[in-house]
Amino acid sequence: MGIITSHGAGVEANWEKIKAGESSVGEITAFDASPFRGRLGAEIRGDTHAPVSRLRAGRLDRASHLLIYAVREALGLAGLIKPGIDVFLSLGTTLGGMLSGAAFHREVIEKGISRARISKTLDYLAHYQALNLFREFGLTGDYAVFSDACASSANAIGHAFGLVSSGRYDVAIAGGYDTMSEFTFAGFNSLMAVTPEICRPFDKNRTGLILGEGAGILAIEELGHAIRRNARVYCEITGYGVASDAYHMTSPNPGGEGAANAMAMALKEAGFPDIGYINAHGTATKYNDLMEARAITKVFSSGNKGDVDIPVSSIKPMIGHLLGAAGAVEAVVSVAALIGNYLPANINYLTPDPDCNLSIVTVGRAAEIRAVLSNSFGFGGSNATLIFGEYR
Amino acid sequence: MKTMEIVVTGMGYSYSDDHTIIEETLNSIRQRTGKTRFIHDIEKSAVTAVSFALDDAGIAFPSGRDDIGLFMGIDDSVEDVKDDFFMGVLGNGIYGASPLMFPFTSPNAFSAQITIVFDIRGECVLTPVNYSCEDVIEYAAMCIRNGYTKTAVSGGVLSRGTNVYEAEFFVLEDAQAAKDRGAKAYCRLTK
Repeated sequence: MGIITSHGAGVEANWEKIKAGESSVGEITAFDASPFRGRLGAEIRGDTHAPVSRLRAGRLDRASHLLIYAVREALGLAGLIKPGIDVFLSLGTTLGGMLSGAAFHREVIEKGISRARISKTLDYLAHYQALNLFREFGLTGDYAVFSDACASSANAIGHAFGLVSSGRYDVAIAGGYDTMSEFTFAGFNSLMAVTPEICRPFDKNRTGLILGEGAGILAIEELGHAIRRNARVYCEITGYGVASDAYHMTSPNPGGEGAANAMAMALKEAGFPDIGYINAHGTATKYNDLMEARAITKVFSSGNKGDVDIPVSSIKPMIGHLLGAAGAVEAVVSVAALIGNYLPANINYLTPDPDCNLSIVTVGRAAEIRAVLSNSFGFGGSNATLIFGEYR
Repeated sequence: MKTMEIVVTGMGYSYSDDHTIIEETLNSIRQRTGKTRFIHDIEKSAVTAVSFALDDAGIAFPSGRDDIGLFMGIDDSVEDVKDDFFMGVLGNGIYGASPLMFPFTSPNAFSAQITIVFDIRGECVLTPVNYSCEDVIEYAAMCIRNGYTKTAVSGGVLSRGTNVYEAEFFVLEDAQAAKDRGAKAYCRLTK
């Protein structure tokens, strides 16, 4: 596994802060956020230039740097840093190299199209970052990039899971990445989705999301292949479900049918395991949290009100909403929770919402966890669920 | 992986400059689905091509089925939308950020719109890379073989110049399932 977020670089650093319930949300520094309704974000501070040996660092978008960080950690922990390794690379992103594209457009406006540097677009499109990984790490194989809004990287992991479990590949590198962009920030503000205060998923007084940035990567491997090379196995991916709302471009289906279908599909594939923790999408927007609560209830309730006692939390108040990277980063955290037997807190939760009648984890705590369900939902009604089970 | 033969049972194509055909088709879709608003030419072309493919395959819409998935690729076409949004924000600051345009800066807005128009409730994925239209067809076939979806609408949109687009979609399904419902099969997928 590999991860970089506003909590820092590395699985260990992130997990310690998440266990401690820390938030790394602060005033946006990447651009002037003063005109916007919300001015907070979860930015990665300090130097984010990943060390590269085969690429020209100065030509890489911030997205590539974050991705290289996470992939290097994942390959290193998996013992897979060796040139020529045949992998399927499956990535999710909504923005790709958006910052480079924005810089190019600025130059077009300021200097005219003939004087704007075309080099700014060298790492702009969403597949360039994938191609950079092949070059930097000497990988061979094929790749796919998914852009399904905030379900992008969950779908990328699900696709990789399908390819490995069906025998097409022994190893897949799967995950996602996204950066803090003024354009996206402006867009979410225009939709009134960004909160001007703290982010509090499932709270009655929730007022919206906080954007973040980062990357998360899983090295997914066929079990026999991993055992033969004596690799450490963190967990099993046991289920993947995906479904569409077919409802609205930006609003989720209030009844949560699509989300419930994705969860049900993943649970069926996983053989209906005993879910010990639900890592919720939990954006803290009014509509998403209400929909997700209804969907979870629809799937897990036996019909009596308030009988869903599976612990639920969203880590977005700590590291923000990472858009296309959210599913992957939350997958890493879900696996960490599973192997660490620890339930991360849904920080900032103060006032229960009777319409979101779930067992919210208000304070992080130890718990025996055999399986974790992680939800990712995106604009346009994209719903994806991943299930991770303990490896015995 | 199960050995299952995948066949093509429907095909649809549209070209964004064929305004008359597209408008007539969209009007027909409006009458059948009640969906009235189409914003961008990419969306109009894609919706038109999908309607042709579904009609050709004899699949009624709005479908309301969760065993039909949409697997769409898109090339640099989507950059035309981002350009407009970028220029709006750069030119007019916060007031240039159109809430109507913003969702379309994420490429999956187009695939989402197709699921909404035709009420397709199964898997919906979009890959935003050159040549991804071919890749998603392969992925769709894998999803049928693995049992994730029964029927796949797969294809994509290609740029043919600034603000000029071609959309091409195919309906894929298990050969036996197609035979059982009496659908014609154009060909089988061999790879």
